[in-house]
Parts: sequence; structure tokens; C-alpha cells
Amino acid sequence: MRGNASSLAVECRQFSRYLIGRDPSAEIMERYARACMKFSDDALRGNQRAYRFARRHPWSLPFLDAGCGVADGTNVLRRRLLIASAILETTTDHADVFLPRTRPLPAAIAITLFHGAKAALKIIVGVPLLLLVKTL
Amino acid sequence: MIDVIIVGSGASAVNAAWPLVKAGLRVVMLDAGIQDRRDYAAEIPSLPFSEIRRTDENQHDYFLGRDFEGIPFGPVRVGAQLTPPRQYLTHEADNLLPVVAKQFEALRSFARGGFASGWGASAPPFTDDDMRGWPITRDDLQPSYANVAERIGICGENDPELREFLGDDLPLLPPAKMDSNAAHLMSSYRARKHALNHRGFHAGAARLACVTKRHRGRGPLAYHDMEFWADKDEAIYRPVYTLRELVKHSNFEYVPHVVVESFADSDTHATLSAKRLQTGTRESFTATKVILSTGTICTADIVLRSLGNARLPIVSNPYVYYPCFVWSMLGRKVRDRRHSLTQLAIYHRPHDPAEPLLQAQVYGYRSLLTYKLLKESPLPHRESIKLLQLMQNYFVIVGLHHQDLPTKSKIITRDGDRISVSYQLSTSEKAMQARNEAELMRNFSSLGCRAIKRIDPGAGASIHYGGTLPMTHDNRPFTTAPNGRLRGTRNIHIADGSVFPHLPSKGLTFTLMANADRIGSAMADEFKKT
Repeated sequence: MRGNASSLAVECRQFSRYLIGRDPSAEIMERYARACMKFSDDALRGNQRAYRFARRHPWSLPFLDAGCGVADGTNVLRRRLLIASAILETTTDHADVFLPRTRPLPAAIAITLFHGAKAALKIIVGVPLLLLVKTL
Repeated sequence: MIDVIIVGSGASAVNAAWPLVKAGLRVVMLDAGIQDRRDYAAEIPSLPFSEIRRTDENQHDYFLGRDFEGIPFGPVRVGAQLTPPRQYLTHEADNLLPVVAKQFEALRSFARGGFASGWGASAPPFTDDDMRGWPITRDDLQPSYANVAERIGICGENDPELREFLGDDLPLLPPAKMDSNAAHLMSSYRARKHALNHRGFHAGAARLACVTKRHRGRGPLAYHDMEFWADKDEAIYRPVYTLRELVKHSNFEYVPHVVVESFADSDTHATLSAKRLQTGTRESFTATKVILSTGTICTADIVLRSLGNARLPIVSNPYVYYPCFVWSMLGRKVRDRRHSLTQLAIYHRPHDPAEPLLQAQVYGYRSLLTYKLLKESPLPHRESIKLLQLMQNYFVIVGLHHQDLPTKSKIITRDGDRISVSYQLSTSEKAMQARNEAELMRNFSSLGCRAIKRIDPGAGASIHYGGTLPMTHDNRPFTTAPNGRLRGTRNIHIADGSVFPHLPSKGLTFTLMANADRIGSAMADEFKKT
């Protein structure tokens, strides 16, 4: 489903805050809107419920993303997040978030465990939430 | 009259042309010659990847594509290395030669320079073992391997320990520097060499069609890690560089925007029927000899249109790859300056001596960007980004090309105005591949490199095709003589992958070029005699 440019800009801000904890520039929001409008309906077609729910209830975005990751990897929500990630990654503003970084081994292990645990918790909440949202 | 017409401008075509032009013959090259109209390359700065990422405000243009064509949806498919600046290589293919293929990716290129314009540059030569059952041997190819190595520039080592897999020495440029992961894996390999060799596992520096020092006005390799996106330093060989040298000769003419449809052969000459792309008008070209070198699928189409339809065999290396994590590198600093091509070549002799050699290539990943990995990750995006930032430095991709032999289930034919391909691996072929992969990946694990996932992009994904008009001593229709002459014709020769009777587990492009050079050289000698 294609959205208009202003609602896509709002969506881009929501996704950017979730993905990298930063607000996107106006240029990035415009690029995201253009990308979503450029993709054929085929690419962004499918069950829209998780996507619409996450847009209406921003608190649910991390959980629905996690739920889709293990239960419905090609969900429209994941696809839109992929577009946002690709656009954020290929900017000078946010390149540092995506470029590889070397950490000492103890820090690397700690970071891996921390984010692994966070991901597991989100999945535990996200899968049932996704199932619930799909039945609404 | 024109002495020789060469059809196509890819790796085989330009290397078939070279000895003929050098022998003073009048050579014309007919080619669709599609070029990159978007010209992404002009936008890409000649800077290292990490610097581009931090400084170039326009990077989204070529990394994602102006129509965002670089953002992948759906399952992993063929040609991950066909980044937006390389996607023109397949433009117009569906219009110029429609293909119906069930469960087979039949890629065709009508681009100037063909698929080798986006080639990964891996250049292992074939040995007699690789060419078992062929009517030619490594000795027949050795002079042409040497000619091509000098012409295009191949870097690597003549490692005596790998002679069993690479054959006799060739003139090589110094090897490219390995990235940190490959250097680490190589040092782990050396520490366990005896045991690994005993299990059939051998490793060494990759042979690459890449100039590590200035060579024929190209290079040297700048280690910018941008090889999938641009060829700024011209270090990686592309056929257009040979074409550029060829057009300087007065006895060579390059005619673009022409698609050859069929041929007619007589006792003394051959005539090609072709279409001008810009006007749609049909035109004939006549020469004493013709060399078809348009790539296996396109050449099959021309031959079947000319000699009548038939069911021809087709082979294509089954390709799979394993994203791996070099866990033993975690926490170590890695070099920023690197290249994106094959870092290490692995040769694995399976436990069962009746089974064929398996060759693998180890690549780095970084320059293909994180978002493509995000698509494959089952974790939430936010955590994936954090974890990939930490781990991406230690990712390698292990790519495997399995041998492919012709069978009755791998067929190409014409179906109306289209080419039709049906391709099915047998259960025993699949089982053998799975067995050999498992053996190989176990050995990788012992180097501290753990596979995360197995990705099978599907049949045809290697873009290595061959076997349609195999070289053989048997005088059968739809085969070629060892000199490339198409049986049933006097003046039509084939010099692309079509003539390879099967495909061993190795990159074939270097051998395509050497075989084309061999066929071109033999034809030049024949002209001298007559």
C-alpha cells in the first residue's frame, strides 16, 4: 500500500528512532518516501496488519519487528524497515552506526550477550503479539 | 572480404580476436554492445570504502541505485555481485533473447564486455584432472594460459604445494595482500596443515585477474574495497580493456548495436544474418570464418536457429555459499585497506577418491553493506544493527562451485521464439554435493571459522554455463571439433563456454579466455598456411 509523502516522512522518523535512536534529516525522510512510492505494490504487498498496528502504536514496533523476524520474515513491516535501514546506512550522517567497529574481546562478548538477551526478550513478547495483531 | 567475424565482445571474444589481429588478419567484431547509460561509475570517488561512507553525500545514488534497485526483496537470488552499477550487464536481455526456464536462472548479457565486466576475477587454471574426458589437455592450453596471463595480468603464487590443483607455473604478478580474516585463516591452516592436508583440505593465495603492479597501463590495485562498485584503478581485468587495445589496430573493426540471429555456411565463407538494434533493419555480414562467442545461451540460440532445433545438453556449476563467522578473530583489529575479491582459494579432495575436487573461495563481506545482511537476520533490526557492527569485521563468505556433468535432465532447446531451459539435479548429485560440502565446512570449523547459514541461490546462479556444443573427437551433430569448429559446418567456430564438455569445480573465465586464445591462434595459423 502506498502512502502519501507526509505520512511516509512521519513513518521514516518513527523507524529511524527505533533503528538507530536518531531523527532523520528532511532529505532522508524525502528519500524514504520516494523509495516507498517507487517500489511496486508487489514488493510492499501482503498482510498489512502488523505494519498498521506498529504505525498506530509505536511502542509495539520493536516487538512486532522481533516477532516478524522469526515468524514472518517477509512481512511488509520488515520490508519497510529494510528500506529505512538501507537509506540510513548510505548516508554520511549515520555511516558510523553501520560501519564495523572493533571492540576488545571482553567488551565484544558483553555487548553480544546484552543485545542477544534484548533480542530474545523482544522475540518472546513479539511472537504472541504478532499472532494477536494478525487476528484482530 | 573480411577474414574473421567474431560475434560478441566478452572475455572469450576479445581473447579469440587478439591472436587473429596480431597475425594481421582483417577482423570485425559484431556486438550488441549495451553500455551503462546511467553511468554510476562516474559518480564514485576513487577513495577507500570507509572514507566514501563517511564523506560522500551522494553514496546512496550508487549503493542503492537511483531507482533503489539495489534494495533486495525476496529470497537471495542470482548475482549478488551485480550491484546497481553492474546491473546494466543484463539490460535488454529479456527483449533480445527471451528465455523460459523452470527452476533455472538463465542469465544473458548483451553488454559490451559481457558478464566479465562484473566478474569476480577468480582465475584458477584447469588441470588435466579438471578436463577429464575432454579432447584437449592442459598441455594444449598451457601456451594460451601464459598468453592470457600476460595480456590481462594475473596475480598469485606458483605454489609448488598447490601444483596438483593448479598445474604448471604461469607468469604471475605478485599476489594481492589478504585481508585480516584470510591472513588469520591462512595462519591457522599452516599450524594444522599436516592434518588438514591428510583430510584433503588445501589452502593458498587466490589467483586473481588483477594487477598488483602497473601492467599494460592499468592498476595497480588500490585496496579500496570498492571492486563490486567501480573499476577506478582498472586493476581488475575487464574485456573492454582488451577491446580498447584491439581498436587501435587498423585491421580490427568493432561494430556495436548489432545482434546476430543466424548463420549460413558455404564451402568458402560464412554469412551472418543480423539485426541493427537502433533501426531494427536486417543486414548480412560475410567473412571467410566466423567465431561465435556470445555466451553459452546466446550461442545455442544462434546455432539452433541456423541448423534447426534440437535438444542440447547444458551444464552450470551448482553454486552455494556460506556466510561464516571467524570467531577466533573476535576482538582483533582488522586492516581497513583491503580488496573485495577472493581472498583465499581452497581445494578439497573428498574422502571418496571417485568424487571430484571441490574448490571454494573465501571473500570478505564489508563492501556489500549491512542492510543486505539485515534482510537475512531473524533478529529485530535494532539489535541486528548493533551486533553486525561488532561482528561484520569477522564475517567471511565461503563460496562453492560444484562440478556439473551433462545429464538427460539438463536440456536447452528453442521453443517458438524463445529459448527453453529445463534443469534438474539428480538425487545422487545432490547427495554427493551435500556430503562434500559437509566435509569441507567441517575443515573450515577447525580453522576457527563457523558457518552461520547455507544459502543456495538456485540452479544457474553461478552464471557459469557450458556444455551445449561440447568439444569431442566423435563426429556428431551439435558438437565441436577440438579446434572449435562446429560440426556440420566448415567455417563456423565456437569459442565460448558452449564447447566445454562439463564444468569442473572452478571458476571458468580464465579457461574460457585461454581456450578462445587457443582457437584464435590455431585459426591464425590455418590462415597463414592457406
